[in-house]
Amino acid sequence: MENKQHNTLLALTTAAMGLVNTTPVHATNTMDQEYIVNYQFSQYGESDLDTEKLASGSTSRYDISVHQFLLRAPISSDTQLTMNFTSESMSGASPWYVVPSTPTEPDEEIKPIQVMSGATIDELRNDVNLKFKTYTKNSNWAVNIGYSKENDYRSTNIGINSAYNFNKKSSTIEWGLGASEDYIDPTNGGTLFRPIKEEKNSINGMLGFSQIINKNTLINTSFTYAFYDGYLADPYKLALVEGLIQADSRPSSKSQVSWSLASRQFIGLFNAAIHADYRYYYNNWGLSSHTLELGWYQNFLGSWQITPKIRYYDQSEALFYEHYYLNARSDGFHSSDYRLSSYSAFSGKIKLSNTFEYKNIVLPVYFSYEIYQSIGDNPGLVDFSVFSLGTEYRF
Amino acid sequence: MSTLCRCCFFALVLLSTTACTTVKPWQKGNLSRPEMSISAMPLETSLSDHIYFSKEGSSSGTAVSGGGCGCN
Repeated sequence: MENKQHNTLLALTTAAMGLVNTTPVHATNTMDQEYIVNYQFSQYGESDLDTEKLASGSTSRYDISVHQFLLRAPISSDTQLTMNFTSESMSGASPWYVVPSTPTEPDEEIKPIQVMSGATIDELRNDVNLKFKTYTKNSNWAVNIGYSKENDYRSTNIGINSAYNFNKKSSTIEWGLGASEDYIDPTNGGTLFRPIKEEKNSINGMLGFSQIINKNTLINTSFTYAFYDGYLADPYKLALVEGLIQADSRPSSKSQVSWSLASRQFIGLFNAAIHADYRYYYNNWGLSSHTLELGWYQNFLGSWQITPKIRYYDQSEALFYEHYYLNARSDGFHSSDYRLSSYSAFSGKIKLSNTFEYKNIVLPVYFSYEIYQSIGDNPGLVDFSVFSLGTEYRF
Repeated sequence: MSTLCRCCFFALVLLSTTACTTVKPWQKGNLSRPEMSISAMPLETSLSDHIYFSKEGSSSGTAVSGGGCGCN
């Protein structure tokens, strides 16, 4: 998208699979001395629920408008400050619980159908993150702190990460640690099976490695681990257990690991790059997943770039998940949340970008559109689309 | 794992085991192109990660900035 070329090891980053704010290491590990302002607006919209899958409530689902800002400034020759601010407004109904359909014909199959929340949720979430990053000859260190607030939820997180170049700056090893403390105060707590105040905490770690293979190829791999403790259920979801409505109930702890592998290949014949990313995920609730993403970055007419991407996602169900429970589980856990069910999802995305120049002003602009489709048995599975428009200004 | 995932996974592993060649600094021009970054667009990446974290059962272990999301 930009005509400027970054230092080589700018390309060597861990995937965003690691800790937030893990960023690239420059070839000479020198800091970008420019001020950078980024802005992106996105509109996210979920498809209406099929009426055939609806038991009661609204078929309309979530719409979310997102404004994102990034400001990066050099504080000194070797230290930079980055501030991220996100504001999103959400409205719509969400899946509440699943019930069996009532056959109208003698041989009609009983299917799971969705009860949607009756009230439309209107929420505003604001999120700010600060990162201080300092560079040495062959490494960089960063500390970040973040705070997020919405009507019924607030979260504080901190993290530290570092990257080290070696092997004549052809190799990079990166690591990071982070922690988060979240407080939940559900709307109408104490009613509708909702708790009044709950808390959850998490810690996570990441270890990554990047390697230049040849002048047109680089790869990256990373491992992450996270542990969650506290209230991990969804206060706004219910489950049908032996014909009675119960609160969503999940274990009070969760461990998870992930492994990712990414490759970047430049193809000079086409003046294009191809991206391939794979991730395997597993948690001790029994849920595992595979994610595969492919992208083709085609440059044309000098400063233009078009990028088609496809993504495939496949997950297994959590051990305690069922659409609804004919018999209660001995461990007392029950959830009809579609995000714990077995399903697959395909998404396709197209992005177009260009750098516009007027007098001394250089302004890269991009827009993208993504469609996401789920395939599975849970009636609450979501299909959505996302439109984004963004720009960047350097000075 | 589906057949497609299995094929692509092994292709990535094969690529990663390709013998590395020594790349001189003046040969790293293509590697420094923005489209060769693992994650070149921070706002775009963070939004995508946040959406998938909210709507799917997996997460990357990332302390996603702020937590607390429209996850309902």
